[in-house]
Amino acid sequence: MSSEIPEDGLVLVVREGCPTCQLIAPVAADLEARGALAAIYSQDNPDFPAGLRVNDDRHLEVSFRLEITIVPTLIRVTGGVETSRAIGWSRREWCAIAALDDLGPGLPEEQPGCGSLSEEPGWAEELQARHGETGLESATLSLQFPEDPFEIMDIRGWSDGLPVVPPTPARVLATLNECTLEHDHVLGQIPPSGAELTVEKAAINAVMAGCRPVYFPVVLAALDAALDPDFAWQGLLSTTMGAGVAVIVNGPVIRRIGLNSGFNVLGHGTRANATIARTLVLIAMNVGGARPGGTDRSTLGHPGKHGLCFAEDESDPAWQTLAASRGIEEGRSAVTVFGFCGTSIMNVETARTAEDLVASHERSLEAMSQMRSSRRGGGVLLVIAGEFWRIFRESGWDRARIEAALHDATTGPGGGTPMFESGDLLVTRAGSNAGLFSTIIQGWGSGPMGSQPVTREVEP
Amino acid sequence: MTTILLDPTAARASPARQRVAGHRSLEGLTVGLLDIRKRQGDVVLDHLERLLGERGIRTGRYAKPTFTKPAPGAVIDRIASECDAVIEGLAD
Amino acid sequence: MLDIDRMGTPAVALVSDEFASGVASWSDLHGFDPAVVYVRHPIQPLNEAELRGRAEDIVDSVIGALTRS
Repeated sequence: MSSEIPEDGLVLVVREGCPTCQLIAPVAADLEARGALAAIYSQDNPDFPAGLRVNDDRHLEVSFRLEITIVPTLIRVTGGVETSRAIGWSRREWCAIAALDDLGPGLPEEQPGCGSLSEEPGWAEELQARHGETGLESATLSLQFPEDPFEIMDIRGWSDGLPVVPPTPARVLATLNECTLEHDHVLGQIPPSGAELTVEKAAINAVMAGCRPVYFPVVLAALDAALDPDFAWQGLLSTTMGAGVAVIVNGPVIRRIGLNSGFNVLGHGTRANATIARTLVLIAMNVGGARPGGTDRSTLGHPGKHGLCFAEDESDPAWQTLAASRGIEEGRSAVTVFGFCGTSIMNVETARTAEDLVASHERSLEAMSQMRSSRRGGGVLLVIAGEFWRIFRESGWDRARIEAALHDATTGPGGGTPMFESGDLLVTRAGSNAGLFSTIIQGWGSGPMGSQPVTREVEP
Repeated sequence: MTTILLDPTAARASPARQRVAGHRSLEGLTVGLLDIRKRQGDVVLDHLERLLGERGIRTGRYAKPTFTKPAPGAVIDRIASECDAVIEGLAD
Repeated sequence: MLDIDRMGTPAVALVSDEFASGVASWSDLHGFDPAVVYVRHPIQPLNEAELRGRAEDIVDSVIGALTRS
């Protein structure tokens, strides 16, 4: 590979896989034969065009530096400065640049070119990282073969215990390209240390958690929600009760990024579900300094502390979405964060009516409230799967009716103290359609004295 | 072949800080007791307050609204203006 | 603790002795080593007399922490 670009003359960039480059191969040969060509670069095959002195640009460095977007591109350079450029094949333009008037006899007057390989997804960020000005400010660690980045990251304590994806500049740039915020924009102070979280650090940790770049706007919305004082993230990260963060997603972004709302929705198997909330865990550890046994005093913890993210099932228009119930305009994407201490499945095989379901849930919620010294104080996120929802719907119930009935049932017939304040009982729909199940996601401390759910719109 | 990794951690939030010096004696001074609102912590603070009083130390009581969140700035300001020293607890 | 210290007021934290490692981590993260008096664990399940005992155990250390230069 030669990265010395000539300072004077004609420079041509081509690739064999492009039909227009095939078309103009005789013109390239003609230019070289006349001594008019200072250099020719091939992006894919250094033996193309055959028989010419071709420079190998399979690393795409020259293409990147010359900002090639289309091949073929013919450039006139004078004293190291580009003076003119033709993109694709145009006899008129090529003749003008080459100062010749008889190029390409027998060829059509013009033919559009093909996309440059340096513009392919993935390559653009890689080239930016290798040869460009990245603007990234974080310290870097250079590992030489055979050092294994996965082992090094583990040794440095950058992980939640599972392997993390190496945050290379190219991956981080690709993630940063998914948002309009500047790299150094401060998103907030991360507990427990209170260290500032920049968009760049968020992107690094998102990469490490395994997020595809397209998930990043959802991660940013979840972070903004978690940093709301109402959410009490610091408390969730310190409590002996062991609290994790659940992220429930609504809106068009669900399909765009491939979030699961169906089978095994609270389990494994889908990358977006597995990595978005995990990013918050890594940020709390890497930026905030939260460590189990350090400031994280979880006595037992629970599997959901790895982070839980899922999409609400929005397939039935009769169901008001969680986001809509919390003031987000229909058709917008949003996240709701919920601090939680575990999940418990409910199975009511004999349920036939909405009232049956409310009675069963009341008993379970009552039992679950016994884990506290006071009966009150823990919020609940109830996840209703398909068959339960069918029963409710056939009874003519909607979200508001379900929430009100559960509130009344857990308050008791004579009035008494309600188990839930308004807003402490959230209901969502997810899971597959077969199976008479719901899952109770147990909150931590609810209300203004504890951790309140927070909803934020995802920036489009 | 070189792999470049970007550091995911924050630089230290602030340089190391020396804590302010204590008083020569608490005689004639006011000590604030800040209840962080963990269960039973108030009872320990009640007894501690009484024991300090028996030694001629003036006291004042303050509380965070909830242990789950940092103390609001207004509470800190009030303590700093009214007290010469502070006891905060009880974290368990 | 850091907030109060920044106002120039000496302060001491009462912490369960089970949480000593948590204090060490907190100090490391904040670059600040607070004055701490440890209280024997547990606290939450104790009765009134036992809680009074805990207060008596620590009162001298608390005064000491606030009067140390």
